Amino acid sequence: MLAFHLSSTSGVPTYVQIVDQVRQAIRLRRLEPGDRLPTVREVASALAINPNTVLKAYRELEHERLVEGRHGQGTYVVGSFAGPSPGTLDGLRARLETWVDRALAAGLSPEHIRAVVDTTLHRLLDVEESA
Amino acid sequence: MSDALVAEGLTKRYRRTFALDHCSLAIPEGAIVALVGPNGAGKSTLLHCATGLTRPSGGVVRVLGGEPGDRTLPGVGFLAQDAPLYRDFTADELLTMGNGLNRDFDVAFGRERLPKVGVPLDRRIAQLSGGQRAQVALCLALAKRPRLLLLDEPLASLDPLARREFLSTMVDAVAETAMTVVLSSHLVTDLERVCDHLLVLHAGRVQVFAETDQLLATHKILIGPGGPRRERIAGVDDVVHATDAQRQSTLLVRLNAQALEPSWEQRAVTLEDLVLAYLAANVETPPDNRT
Amino acid sequence: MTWLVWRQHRKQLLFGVVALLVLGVFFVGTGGPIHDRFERLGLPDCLPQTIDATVVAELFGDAASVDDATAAITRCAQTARAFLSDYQIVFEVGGLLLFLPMLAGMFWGAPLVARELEHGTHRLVWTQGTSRLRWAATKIGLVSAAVLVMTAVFAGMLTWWITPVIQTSGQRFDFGVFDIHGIVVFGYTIFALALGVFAGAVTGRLLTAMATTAVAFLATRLVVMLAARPNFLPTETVSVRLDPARAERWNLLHGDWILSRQDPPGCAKGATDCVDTLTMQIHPAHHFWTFQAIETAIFVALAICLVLATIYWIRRRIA
Repeated sequence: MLAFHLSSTSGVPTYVQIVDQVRQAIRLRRLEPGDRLPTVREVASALAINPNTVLKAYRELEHERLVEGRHGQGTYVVGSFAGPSPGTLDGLRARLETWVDRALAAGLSPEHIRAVVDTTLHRLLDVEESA
Repeated sequence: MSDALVAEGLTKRYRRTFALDHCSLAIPEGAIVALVGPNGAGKSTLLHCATGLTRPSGGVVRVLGGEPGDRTLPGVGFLAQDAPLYRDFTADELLTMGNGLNRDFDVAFGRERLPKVGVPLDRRIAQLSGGQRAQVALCLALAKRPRLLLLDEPLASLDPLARREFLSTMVDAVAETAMTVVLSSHLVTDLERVCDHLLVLHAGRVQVFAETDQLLATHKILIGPGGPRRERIAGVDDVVHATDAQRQSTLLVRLNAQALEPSWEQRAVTLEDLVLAYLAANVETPPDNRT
Repeated sequence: MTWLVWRQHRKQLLFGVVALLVLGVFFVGTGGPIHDRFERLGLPDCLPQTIDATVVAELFGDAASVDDATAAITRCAQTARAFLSDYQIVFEVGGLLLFLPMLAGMFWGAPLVARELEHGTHRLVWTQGTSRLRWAATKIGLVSAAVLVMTAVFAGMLTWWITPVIQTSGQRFDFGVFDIHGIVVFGYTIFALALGVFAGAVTGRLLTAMATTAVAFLATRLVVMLAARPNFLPTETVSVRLDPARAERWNLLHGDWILSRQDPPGCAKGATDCVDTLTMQIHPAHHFWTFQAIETAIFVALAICLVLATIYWIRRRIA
């Protein structure tokens, strides 16, 4: 079952965080079409948030055609993202973990590692986008 | 949709002080209201008037369409400040008590729910932690299957984990039954994620009552050059609160439909900003129209 | 609601039952020997005779009968006096028992409402689905019923225990004796209970309520005992040819309550064997139960007023 995690300091509205996390889960194939999302009640209760907030998120996801609410049965994933296979994703993830281990072994602090990753991503992805 | 709680000119006097001063508000059914204000603002008094524990000196209060008291109490769940419970009773005995005092009382709900949140049914209340006591008190109120739930500073003496578990239980019940909730605290950060309406009380008066989404959308913080004199700013309906330093002024404003004056730096408000601004606004305005 | 009252007061009930058992053991243990002695000394038989003989002899001045009567009287009186001096303790213990109703008011009445107010649990129990009227009436009603039952047991034991001594001394009307005899103890207890409940509801503090109950109870009892009781019924005036020195014995043997007397002018003070007409204002002995009923009724009426005042206070004033 999908577990949500909310950050209260990010300034991002709660419902947007939920939408993002569902989207992310679909993108990473943790949620496949046909899977049922947790009920509004379950999510609201687990996170201690207003049920309407969860409703709002689910409606937004419905609007994006990622999920579909079936009356009386719950909300089901219907969409997916085109992307690499799970195998490719796992391989990439493993190599990232290796790199992080090496960086730690070389004596980099977590903040330093994050800084390196951030600047590299900025450089590469910004270049990618403008290309 | 009818209103769960209505007050018109509600006033409560104790000798020289006004605990409530001509309060008027209408809470729609299904709302989850954060009732915020400093100590002595009148939050408890308002809730006590709604439950019939206090009789108003003037004005009117209606809950679920009726007079506060015996006739409407079956539909109203109340958790008083400091969660008063019979200390030498066990949780199970308190449920039995609730069953005996209420016509419709779901004892099974309490017996199922409490062990799930880590409260043993057969231990005396005095031996439970603050968080467990709050859960028992909440369960007693919820077992009545109320349409309106009134909670007087329920999170005050709870640690963050207990606070989270309390709100989780409450939200679960709300999701199930769509009840109306009024939850008071003097910290709005506790209630931000759960509540969809904000009610700010200060010195017995209603400072603001509106949907939180609407408040967040229609208010902004403006930062600009210092100086107390201010002409009308384009896009601003009302300056709720202003802080003037020598070189910089910070304003919390309510917007109107027009475009906002671009020379001011803009920032989004949080609920806490709103509460503080509306509380401070009261201090600046002189008291008036007290009949 | 009944379950709740039981659950909240079961410790008090247990305490009461234990106290009754302890008192029971004491009464039976000490009362048995008293009763035995009373019978063996022949007092039940000689006391009534003594009264009749005295009345006849002294009213009609029959010298011969006086001698016979006097002999019997003297013997009986001596036996009675010896018996009484041995069991003086009964009066002393009885004096202590005067305070039991007050304790009932302090420990069972005062906490009834005061404890709820002090701990804030009234905000829990008055916001359920039961009206304050029903809550107050049920609580007060059930606790009073239990207390009355315990009082009945206590009064029964006490009456059995003191009967020999009271019968011998003949002082049923005396202050302190009247009050532990008969049915008045019911009136005192229910009054003390109502007083405690009222004080608890109005002050909202247990200790203050207990202190107020004690003071108000004692004050009321004293006022009724000293000022009201002598005036329950008009006094009767009795004139007797009697040696003024024997006026006391008149009281002792008859059980009347002498309120005042006018000594005959002919008999000089301290003169012995002076028989003359003595006038007394008395409440005759056979009015004893009427007086008991009147005093009980007064305290029951006060109790009812206090209960009504309590219910009014709970419903309208605590807001």
